[in-house]
Amino acid sequence: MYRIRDLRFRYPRNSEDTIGGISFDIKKGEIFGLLGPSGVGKSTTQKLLIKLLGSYRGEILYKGKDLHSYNDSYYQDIGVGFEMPVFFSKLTAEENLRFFKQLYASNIDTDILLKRLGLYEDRNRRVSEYSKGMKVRLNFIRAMINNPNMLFLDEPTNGLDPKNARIIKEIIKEFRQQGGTVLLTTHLMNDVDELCDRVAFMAGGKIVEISTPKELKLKYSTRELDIEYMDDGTIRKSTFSLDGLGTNNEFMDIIRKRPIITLHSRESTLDDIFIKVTGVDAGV
Amino acid sequence: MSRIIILFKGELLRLQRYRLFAASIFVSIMWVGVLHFVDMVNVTGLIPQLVFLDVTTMAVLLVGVSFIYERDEATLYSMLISPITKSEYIWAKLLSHITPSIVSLSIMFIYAKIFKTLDVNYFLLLGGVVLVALFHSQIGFLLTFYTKDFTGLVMLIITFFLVSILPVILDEFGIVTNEVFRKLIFLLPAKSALMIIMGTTGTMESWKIITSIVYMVLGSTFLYYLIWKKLQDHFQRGGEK
Repeated sequence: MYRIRDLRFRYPRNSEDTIGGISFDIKKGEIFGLLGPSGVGKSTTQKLLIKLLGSYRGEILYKGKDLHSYNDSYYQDIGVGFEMPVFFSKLTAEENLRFFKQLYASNIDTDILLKRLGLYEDRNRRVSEYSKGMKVRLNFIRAMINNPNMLFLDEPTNGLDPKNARIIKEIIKEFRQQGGTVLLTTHLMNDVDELCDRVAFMAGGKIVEISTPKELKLKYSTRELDIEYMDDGTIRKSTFSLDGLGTNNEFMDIIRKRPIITLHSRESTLDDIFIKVTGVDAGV
Repeated sequence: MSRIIILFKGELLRLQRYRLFAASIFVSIMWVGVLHFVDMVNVTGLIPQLVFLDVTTMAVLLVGVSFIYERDEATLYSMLISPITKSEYIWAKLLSHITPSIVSLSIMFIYAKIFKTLDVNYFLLLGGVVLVALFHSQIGFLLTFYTKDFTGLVMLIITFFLVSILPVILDEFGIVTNEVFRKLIFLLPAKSALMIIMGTTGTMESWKIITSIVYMVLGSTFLYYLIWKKLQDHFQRGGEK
């Protein structure tokens, strides 16, 4: 879908590049996570890919063609969900959606999404009367309005209750099943774990790690297993190497003879990996 | 439906919902009040003066406020990730913000025709209003790029009024009669605007009207270029104000 090579970008007032030469591909039909702390260039990368910023160096190909060669019809093909609300606050949700729908050649039935995301009953209320969560859900519908092939989502579940976050994640998965491609930017590593086929971690304007979540977890894991068990009324803890675990007599003895309380492999979480590769907590 | 018509209709709806249309109508009613209470039966000379004041001030203000709202609500992003060109966006905004000036002109014109004596061709006046409003809407649009908020915009508009419009009013009403001053104000766009609008009464020399029209057209073209460029720069800075 996208081929990005040695992409560099500097804002006019800056003395240094915000994007310092990044290369990656986004394959058709995948959910690609672009992760990293604030200010490392994720949003700038997204703005370059959605043509809000133009004067970059390097190469961006979309469907094999230089991104510069696309005119405004490019926006018929992509949907963009911003983190902040992007609605006329004194218009109703319905009026906002109707206005933007008219600009596209192809539309979805927004009523279906409004119903699914619990906004249908409030569709004739002004957006200024919406809660933060309602605006986030409406933002998501705005991104889907033109039935895009490529979806850019920036923190799509941020500020949502678990029920609505679940619904949005289900819709994103359905979008992928139907052949859609997604670039997801988020701080919520659970969402990344659940949704992303591949992820790239950014730090200092560069990509410092790129792979599937599973491979990254294996790469950054310690091949050990922690076990908690009861021994004569006392809780004891032991750690064993995963290699040769089945032939480790001490481990097998505990498994056979002791009541087990907990058993954990030391597989890294994406949160751990985020901190390791970017040097910053994922909540930042 | 053509995209520019969709954008135009959207702008009109927002002018209504954000009560900018209402503000414009309110000002028009104030002008009607002036016409009503002024001790004058023939208002042929006064109507163009009031129209000049209305168009030059309201066109700058309305488009400025509308764009500030759009920037603050980040709807500008939503617009620019839609399949529209920057030119379509700018034109829809400018054309829609000329509409309140036309409505205002029509209200004053209808009142004067019914209750006073008025000898002005409506369509000539309309043409003048469209040209002057287009120019001044672009001034309002451009000013928003030099301010971060509504307060800053108001300050800039007041400055623009003091520098560009007030001297022309002082000259028009004979308050300042200094010859150097009277010659210098020909450099101001508001002087051209006034000459175009006053020209519709048939009391202005043709060469002055033609020169003023050329001034407004060339000025509008240059302002359009500046707005396009500023909008581009605005996004090159990542949308920061």
